[in-house]
Amino acid sequence: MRSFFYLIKRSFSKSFNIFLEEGSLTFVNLFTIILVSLTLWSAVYIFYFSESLKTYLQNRLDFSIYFKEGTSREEIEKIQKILYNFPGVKEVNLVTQEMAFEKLKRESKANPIIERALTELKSNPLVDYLVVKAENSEIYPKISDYLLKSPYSGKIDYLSYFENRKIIERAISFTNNLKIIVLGILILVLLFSFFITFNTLYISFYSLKEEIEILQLLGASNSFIRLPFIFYSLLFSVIGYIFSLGIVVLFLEKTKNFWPMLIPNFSPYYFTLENFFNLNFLILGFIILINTLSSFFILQKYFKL
Amino acid sequence: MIVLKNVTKIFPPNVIALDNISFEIKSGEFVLIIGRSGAGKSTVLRLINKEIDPTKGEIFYKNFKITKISSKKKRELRRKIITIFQDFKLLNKKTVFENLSLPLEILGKSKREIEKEVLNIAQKLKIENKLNQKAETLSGGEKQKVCLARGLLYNPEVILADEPTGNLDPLSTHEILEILKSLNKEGITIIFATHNKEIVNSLKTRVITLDNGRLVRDENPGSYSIF
Repeated sequence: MRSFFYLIKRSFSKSFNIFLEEGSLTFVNLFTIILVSLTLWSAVYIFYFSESLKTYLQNRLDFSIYFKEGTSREEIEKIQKILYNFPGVKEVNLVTQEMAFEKLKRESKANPIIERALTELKSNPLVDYLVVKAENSEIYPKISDYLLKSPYSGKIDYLSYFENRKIIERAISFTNNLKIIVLGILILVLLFSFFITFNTLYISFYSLKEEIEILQLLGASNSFIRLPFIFYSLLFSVIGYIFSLGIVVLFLEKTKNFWPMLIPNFSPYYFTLENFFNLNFLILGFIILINTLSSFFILQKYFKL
Repeated sequence: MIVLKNVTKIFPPNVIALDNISFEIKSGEFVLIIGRSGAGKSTVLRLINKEIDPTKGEIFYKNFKITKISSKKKRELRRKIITIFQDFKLLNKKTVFENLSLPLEILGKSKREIEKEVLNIAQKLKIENKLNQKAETLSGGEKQKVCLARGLLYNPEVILADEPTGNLDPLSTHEILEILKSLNKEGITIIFATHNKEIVNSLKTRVITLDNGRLVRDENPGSYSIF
């Protein structure tokens, strides 16, 4: 037990020595980690951006169901209930003819001719209708199919889905493509991170080859030789990560108000604040994982440790 | 103490470094291994130190076959059989003290023990005033003394010296030889590889001659002079 603690203590102190003594190597390693961290942060924000964009587009999409004259409100409410239980449907709102009339009046305030025409009307010419919002754009064609094949098809005057169809289909295709692109970017980023970290570590360890060989000749155990290098890679990973986090925080702070102007629900600043622990855990964890695995692999394969 | 039995070493692709050699070295002996460059002197030392394995044959240390041993046993062996090299193999950017601390750190000694033992060995080899100097600033002779001191901290039973005086001036060579002779008198077995004829003639000790990987002569103390 004593020797275990001795080994850990010595390895920590030795890793600090390597960190300070191997200045140029440490600089290159820190720079690599900063680069990799920033790339990973960028990947997270690209992912978040694609999700925000998808949500934004989907929130803007809905379709309305208009009913033929003579359809009672009870029947409409029945259809509302059925649609509410339809898989993937988020909201089904009934807009009564009174509400529709009020809405029209509100929206026509800027146009005095329409406003006057509406006040002159003796009865409400509008009808009740349902507004359906789904969790994603792929649900709309399904609802439309369902309604047209249901016993209520005779009550339906028209579905605005057919008006919005092109926009909805384009949105579906765009979000699907975006998913593939973002996934591709993520895979590339992870591969790039691993590749660059592995090679930088290999060069670092290679430049300390003589020291490793001397320790081997002196009969040092594998863990005695290996641990300081593992701790060294942990040390510059954490320090490099802290630097990169500083850059990310500074960038987010400076652009805090810019992004929501681009897409209303896209705010990397608040997204980071809300998920601060998880994101840091994920990115730092990934960096530490690839560094430690690379270190083990390099030391085992190239230095027979 | 050390027995090589029909040892052959072939390096890839097909370089025969040693060809079926056998000899025994007894405890406390001072043995010179001589031969031209490429004769196989260093290969013999590397085999004894378990740096490499033989292609054929067996090697014994104190009746224990070391040809196939675990990593743990190999590490233990390297603390009993130490090596000093022509190129010293010191950490040049570190101080003499730091270089000498290494074996004691490997043994898990405390800071106080390390300081005490390093000072003792440095005094024994008369390098105590160099302890705070970086290894790269030392002369060849001083570097070799540090290399030797580092190995002696393990209290070894055997010292393998691989052309340790190859880079030294005559004065330093003489000094290192005197230290090795006195260590030999203390009971440490010395196996010394060299192609320096003055060393061979001055030492009057057992000489094993290698030529193209073959053992061509094994002469007893005092009866050998080829130069």
